[in-house]
Amino acid sequence: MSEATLALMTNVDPRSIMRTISPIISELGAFSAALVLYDTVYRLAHQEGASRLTENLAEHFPLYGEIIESGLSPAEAEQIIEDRTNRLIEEFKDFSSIVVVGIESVILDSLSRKLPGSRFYLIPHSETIEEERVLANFPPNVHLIDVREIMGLGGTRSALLSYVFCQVQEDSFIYPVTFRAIGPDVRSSYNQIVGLNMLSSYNRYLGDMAPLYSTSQFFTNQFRIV
Amino acid sequence: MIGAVLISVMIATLIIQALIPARKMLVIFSGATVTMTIAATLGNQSILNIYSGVPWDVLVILLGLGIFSSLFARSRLFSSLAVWCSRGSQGKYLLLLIMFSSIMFILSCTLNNLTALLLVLPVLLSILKALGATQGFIALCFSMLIVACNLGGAATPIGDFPAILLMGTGSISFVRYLILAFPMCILLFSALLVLSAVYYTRKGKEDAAPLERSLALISMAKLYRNFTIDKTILYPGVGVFCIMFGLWIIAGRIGLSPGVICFLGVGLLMVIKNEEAEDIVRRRIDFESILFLTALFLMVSCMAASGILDYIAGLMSMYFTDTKILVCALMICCGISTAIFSAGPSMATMLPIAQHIILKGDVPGETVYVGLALSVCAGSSFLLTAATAGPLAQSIVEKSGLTTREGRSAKFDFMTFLPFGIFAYAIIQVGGLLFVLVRI
Repeated sequence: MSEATLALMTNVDPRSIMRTISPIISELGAFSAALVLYDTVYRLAHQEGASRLTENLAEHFPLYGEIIESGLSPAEAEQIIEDRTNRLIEEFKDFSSIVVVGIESVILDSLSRKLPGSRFYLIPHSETIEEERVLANFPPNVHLIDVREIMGLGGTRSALLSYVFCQVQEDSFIYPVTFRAIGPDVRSSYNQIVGLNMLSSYNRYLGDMAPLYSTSQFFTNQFRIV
Repeated sequence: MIGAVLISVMIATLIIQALIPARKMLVIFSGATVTMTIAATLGNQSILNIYSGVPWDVLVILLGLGIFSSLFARSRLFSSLAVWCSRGSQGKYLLLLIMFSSIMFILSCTLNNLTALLLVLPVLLSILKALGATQGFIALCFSMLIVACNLGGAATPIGDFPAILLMGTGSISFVRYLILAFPMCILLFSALLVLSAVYYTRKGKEDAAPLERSLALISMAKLYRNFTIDKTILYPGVGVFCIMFGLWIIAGRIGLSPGVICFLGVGLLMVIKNEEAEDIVRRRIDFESILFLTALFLMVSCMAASGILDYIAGLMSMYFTDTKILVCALMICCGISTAIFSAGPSMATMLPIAQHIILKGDVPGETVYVGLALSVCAGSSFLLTAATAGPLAQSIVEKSGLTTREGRSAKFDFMTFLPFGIFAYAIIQVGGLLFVLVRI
């Protein structure tokens, strides 16, 4: 690995990286975007280059650092995600409706294809998405909905899935849209409310997340992703 | 006298609709109503005669091709081509400019360029957002795209309104238009593209850093990861289009008008894809432009019947005694009036005058008609507001939130386009004039 390539990772402007990946953060999800970034940097500059970029991006994109911290290569990370997704498939196979708050394509691509009999209702975590493009990438059993429609989709055969970040003991951070989605009225309407743990350790830069205290009261089941 | 009143009403209508585009339908219909009332009451024209002056075949072709483009768009062909272009460009700005302009030229040759723009621009905007282009490149790229749309539209008899008008009114056959206009448009497009590329290279081209480029390309691949062409629409669409194309070529021999062929083809595709067709006919057809052109044709029909257009043609013939200069003057008038009033009004008014000049003088009609189409194309490329593709592209860029590499909001507006517009107008207009002068 040449020093010039490694220097590129240290000298790169984090804002330009964020500009480049912001559409995939919106449409694929922050975790999926972090994996894409890791995979790209790994190909160009291997593990050493990927690690150097961590410091540069720490303030802007902490999820990337979290994945690097795990010490897994992109291929290993993908394998683990696939295993965890298969467990989720087992969990959800009897549900006819699955409402997902926030998009994470790395999980939903395979989940929606392996459960063709279930209807998936996605509530995007970002407003800057091209709905037609997002839907074109998923099978026909996936629909985009607004958070206001969440109550009508509840029932005994309905499950709700969302993402949890930085869990420390009983508390964690969540997408702001999740906060509305799992209010007391909604919690009683769904058979299961599952939280996917995306970022395990605390990170002070999650400025756009909402704190959720006593997380376990909100989620009936939790899965750790990486 | 009545003719002078009618032409004054028409000019006033065109100026007001250009000044208040938000009320252009109201203005044009008011103008048509006033014109028809004057023609019927003071000019003793019968309403039936006014109606018979409207080239209905042209409206039928426009409507049919609109339905066809919308159906075709559902196959995701446009977006898939744009994604392919992004991948093929390897994230290099110059290749992006060349590939996207070429795709827009090719698509505009056969399909509605507004539909093509609506589906191709989001992909181009995504890759430009990811790469972080400079303001200079963004202006150049979108300007070239607009001109590519105009030239593609002029290249074939079904590409855009002026050419459809020429074919629909029987002024020129499908094959003759194609033989004369297509090579000229390819030549002009290539010249403009080469000059744009040279300008960009001289201006100091600077591609994005390797990491940004790799990341941008992978991001695009991920954003369109399962994006596939709907072959159940594409294959029948291509099949029907080939049949229509074949029939247009032999239209004269089989005695079918281009409009009837268009309707037959579109009808066949609608039967094959009936569910999608029903939705398109109910919700997606651009009736606004059809109604706008109908009102315009009614005004032109009143003027033609009053004899004012013969009078103008006679005046021009008297003033310009040399036929070559007369045709060149008509073409320049056509180009400038297109820049101000847009292609529809300009071509609809200039065509009857051109027909009189062709009838009176010893001028090859086909050459003049193609020359006029090239002049309309030049005028459409002059100002951003001259062709509908311009304001559409401006609005898409504004809404996209595209930023430059420096982090500022990207601009693509009237003034940003103007320098390139003047340049493109000059090249296309001179190309058209040379084409006519060589052939007369």
